Amino acid sequence: MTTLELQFGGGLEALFSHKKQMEVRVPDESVRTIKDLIEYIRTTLIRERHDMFISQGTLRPGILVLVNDVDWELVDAREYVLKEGDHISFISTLHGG
Amino acid sequence: MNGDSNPSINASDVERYSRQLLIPQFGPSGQQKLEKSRVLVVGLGGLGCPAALYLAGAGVGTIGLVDRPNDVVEKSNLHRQLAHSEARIGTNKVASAAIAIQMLNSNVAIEKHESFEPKNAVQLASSYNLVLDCTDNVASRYLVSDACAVTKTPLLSGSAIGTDGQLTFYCKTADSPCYRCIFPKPPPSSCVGSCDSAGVLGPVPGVIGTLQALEAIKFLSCMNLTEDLDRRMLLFDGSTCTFRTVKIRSRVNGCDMCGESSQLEIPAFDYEGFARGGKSIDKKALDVPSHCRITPEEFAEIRRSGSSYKLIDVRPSQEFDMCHLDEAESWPLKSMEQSAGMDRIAEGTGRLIIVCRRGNASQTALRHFLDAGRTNVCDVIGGLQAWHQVIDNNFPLY
Repeated sequence: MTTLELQFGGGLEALFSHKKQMEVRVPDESVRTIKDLIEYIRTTLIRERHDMFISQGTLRPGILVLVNDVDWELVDAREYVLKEGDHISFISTLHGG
Repeated sequence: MNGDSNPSINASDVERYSRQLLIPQFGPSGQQKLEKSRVLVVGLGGLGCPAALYLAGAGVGTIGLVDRPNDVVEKSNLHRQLAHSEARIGTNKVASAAIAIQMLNSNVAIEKHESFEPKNAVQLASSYNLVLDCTDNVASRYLVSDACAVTKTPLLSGSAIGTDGQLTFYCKTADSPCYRCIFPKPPPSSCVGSCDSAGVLGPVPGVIGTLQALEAIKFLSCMNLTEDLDRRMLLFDGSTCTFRTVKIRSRVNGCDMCGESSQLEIPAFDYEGFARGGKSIDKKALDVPSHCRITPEEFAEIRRSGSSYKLIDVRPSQEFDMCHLDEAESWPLKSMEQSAGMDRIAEGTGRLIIVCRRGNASQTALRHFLDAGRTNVCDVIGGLQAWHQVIDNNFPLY
């Protein structure tokens, strides 16, 4: 099992009973990369409004993913291999002003 | 005006700007650079008000102001848009902000623009040293960024909603990303909140707009501090009073706007359509029969006639608590759509009238009732907003 700290912001926390952070332990065989983690979150952690997280089988546009406070595009994006203790953040972009 | 090596500032300005002149990295040369600077503030709302006021206070030479041509000051703006005032409700926001800036610092040259649109965005952006994105919608954010990317105008982009805020620097250098590099596709419109619909605590855009001004002042005065928000994004969580700064990607070669093979032509690009195009794919068409919809006038007539009906208000409970029609019963759409709610929908046969804020959620609720086999049910076109406009202007508008 891998222990991860998940963080949700920019309104996404509404999908997780308004929890902005949570510690999860995920099976390391089936949840190896962030791509797997997104699927794990979709099937295990989200109960309603899946469209706020997933669109056409992938993360919906407008969500910034961070691995330990670094844009996932700088660290292999979907293929990033999760490590024990990683902080993975999903931040929805805001448009209001 | 003397050169940087021997800056001199007149006596009145020394007094006015003394507190910032005392900052060693800023000093008289920073002040002179500010005075020669031209900044465009796009959007004079919760972000643009504090940003423009602080820029004016600091002595930025020329401040351009632009907002939607029909955007006027409303009462519901005043908790956060502090450059405006009660006396200026109904006034165009650019005109109102210009008055506030002039009152604060008459040295500032103000340039008022009527609109920021695909046809004039490039020309506008190119005539400023820095642009502040203080807009409130997806289409404008792409347009502002595209115009800055193509003209290589640095862009400080702020946003806020609820208790959250974000701020970053786009297009600052040749390696900096633009908005499209980070967000190549717009979010589904069902996932986009606005301050009008989701609410916002006034100081939240106040914090972000103020930080936009701070970053602008540092940049324009060439303070050359080691770190700015180029390729970094500030995330502010007002609910826990937490600031985080995260690292974001550089310019993306394949970006539709600033990438090497970009063919995007701003004047021809349909920004509104692009922003709408991110519509949620599984949002089913409502397809509510028109005979199931009544106008506010028809509803008023039913109320007057004394015939029996039950009025269901499907807005969220906090909106119901803000204001509601006397006879209304609160049944938020969200709880209706949970399974226990769906069981309850089929119960009863009496006449039902459904109302919401603007006449959208009520159609979704109506669809649920019709799908459950209920007849004798209708919703009010335009919702309580239309009720305010055509029937009872004492009913609060929000």
